[in-house]
Amino acid sequence: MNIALSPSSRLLPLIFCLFGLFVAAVGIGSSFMPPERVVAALLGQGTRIDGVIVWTLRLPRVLLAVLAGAAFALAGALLQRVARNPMASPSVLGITDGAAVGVVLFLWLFSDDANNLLVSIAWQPVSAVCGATLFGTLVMVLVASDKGGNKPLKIILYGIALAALAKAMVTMLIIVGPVYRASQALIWLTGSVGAAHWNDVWTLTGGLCAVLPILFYQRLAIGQMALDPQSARTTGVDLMRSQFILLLVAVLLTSLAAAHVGAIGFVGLVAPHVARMLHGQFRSGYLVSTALTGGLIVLGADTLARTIAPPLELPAGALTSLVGAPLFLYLLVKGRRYNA
Amino acid sequence: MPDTLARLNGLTVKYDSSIALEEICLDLPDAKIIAFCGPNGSGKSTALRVMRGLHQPAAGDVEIAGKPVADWNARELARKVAMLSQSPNAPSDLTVAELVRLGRFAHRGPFSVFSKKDEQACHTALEATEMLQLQDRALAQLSGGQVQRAWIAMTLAQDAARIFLDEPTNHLDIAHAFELLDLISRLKTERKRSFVLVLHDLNMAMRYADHVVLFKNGKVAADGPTIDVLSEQNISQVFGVRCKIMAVSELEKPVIVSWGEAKRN
Repeated sequence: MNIALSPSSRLLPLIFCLFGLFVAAVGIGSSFMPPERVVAALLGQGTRIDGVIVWTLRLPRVLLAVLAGAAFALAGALLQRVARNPMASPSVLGITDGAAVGVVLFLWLFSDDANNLLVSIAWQPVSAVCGATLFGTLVMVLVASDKGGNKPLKIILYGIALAALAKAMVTMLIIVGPVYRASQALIWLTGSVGAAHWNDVWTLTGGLCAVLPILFYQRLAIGQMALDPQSARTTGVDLMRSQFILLLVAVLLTSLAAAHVGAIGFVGLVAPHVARMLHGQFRSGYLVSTALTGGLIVLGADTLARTIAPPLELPAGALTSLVGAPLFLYLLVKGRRYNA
Repeated sequence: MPDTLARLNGLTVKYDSSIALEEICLDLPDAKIIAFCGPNGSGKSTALRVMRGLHQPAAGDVEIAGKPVADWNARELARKVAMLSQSPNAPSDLTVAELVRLGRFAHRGPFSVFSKKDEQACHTALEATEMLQLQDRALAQLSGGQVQRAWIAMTLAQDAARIFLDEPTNHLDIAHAFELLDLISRLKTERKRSFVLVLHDLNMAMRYADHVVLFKNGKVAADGPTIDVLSEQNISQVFGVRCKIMAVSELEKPVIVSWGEAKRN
């Protein structure tokens, strides 16, 4: 392949694509806005009504889609490195489903008979983080206490088992819980950025900003994790510490994103693979490329979801799975050499 | 300046409940080529792993480069001691150059870029292992011996004064095995490196090692200068084979010829 390209010039096309889609996504809606008006409104030079549409209605949704996609994708890339398994992702390891248990449990416990929430909805992300952490920790404890070999496979197997358990718990809670909450929970479970507010955008931005220095600090260790654990340690990596930190980051990113947009599937699995093909997983800038790809996928899915059958809006998560699953199958069939 | 590479004191190592090493005491000299020899499962690889801090001993302690192994910080220890394990593994789409660059981890700060010095160390390592021409190949495109040399290049790029190699001649043909051991000898004399090698070929140990430790059933059967340790008596006792040590006029070191079980005949 084109080896001569520098990492930054590999990122440029992605950034252009994302920017193009960003402008298009802001422009597309019940009243279409051509790109020049979108850009004018973004720069604060458009008409007042354009400004309102862009800044209040569309921008939070578009930004949330990009940020959530980036968070899921980063979490997926980190998990794939820590587990040394290209099949690892937040949804495979039960982290997303753990977040779902947290959210559904929250909706169930804190609703009164009239379906009103007894506490602020701001606590929902907290419960998502708790659920995700619980299930993520469970998987890791099981793997750590397993004396046998082939840890990469074990992580996936325990993850699948716990994800199934979490899914069952979610289903039970939905059936037992109040009806109105059930439909709310279902939308959350498929994953949608439809109800975006600036608050969501800020929380997710905050989360990503908090995580970035950690990722930057650990970026070399993340590269070393491509080696088997023993070799990684002999090159000087404090492996246990790095694995722990990165797992924590992955759980945090997943639950934070899932709490705001729901369980958008397959992004965490597919985005790192696409970035591998476009960028190369051992070049510097791989994580940036993964994050951009993730943002691109979710924004593309959401934009498609709200234009495919207007005025109906599909949840973005349904589309990412619809597009992501075949794409993943394609990657599997084509790229058998990806077995890490 | 300590002239001891490593000091093992009453070292007992267990895997689950089975004992791999039992009350080992060893003083390994610095700036030498040390060979660990012995039958399969006698504990030589385990000793190497414990000396590098990869496995916690059940009892006893290990001192390396003048400090207990547990007191070393991961990165600092990696600058002092490099090690190549028996069956290292990396993604098959990793290229040789990328693999060798990973050997520089301990020298790179979290905020530093890949420096000229890092680049130089990688180049030297690739040159020494004759992997320069193959550096842009992915590991999947290499033969077993070439992969092994790529890993050795990564270990050398780490630029540590002490290098542990677990069966480094694995997958190498005779010519490349000799080349590797010649390289090791050169690095010892020219660059004052110490080596600990797990070797299966006793003739290789005889020819290249300054010091040999013979392991049997998790214990040290013999330890000392090569010519004293690799005696007919020790070899037949430890391996249960008959052998003869013969001088060959063209060679400085004698050769070991072994055959069958000692009990028969």
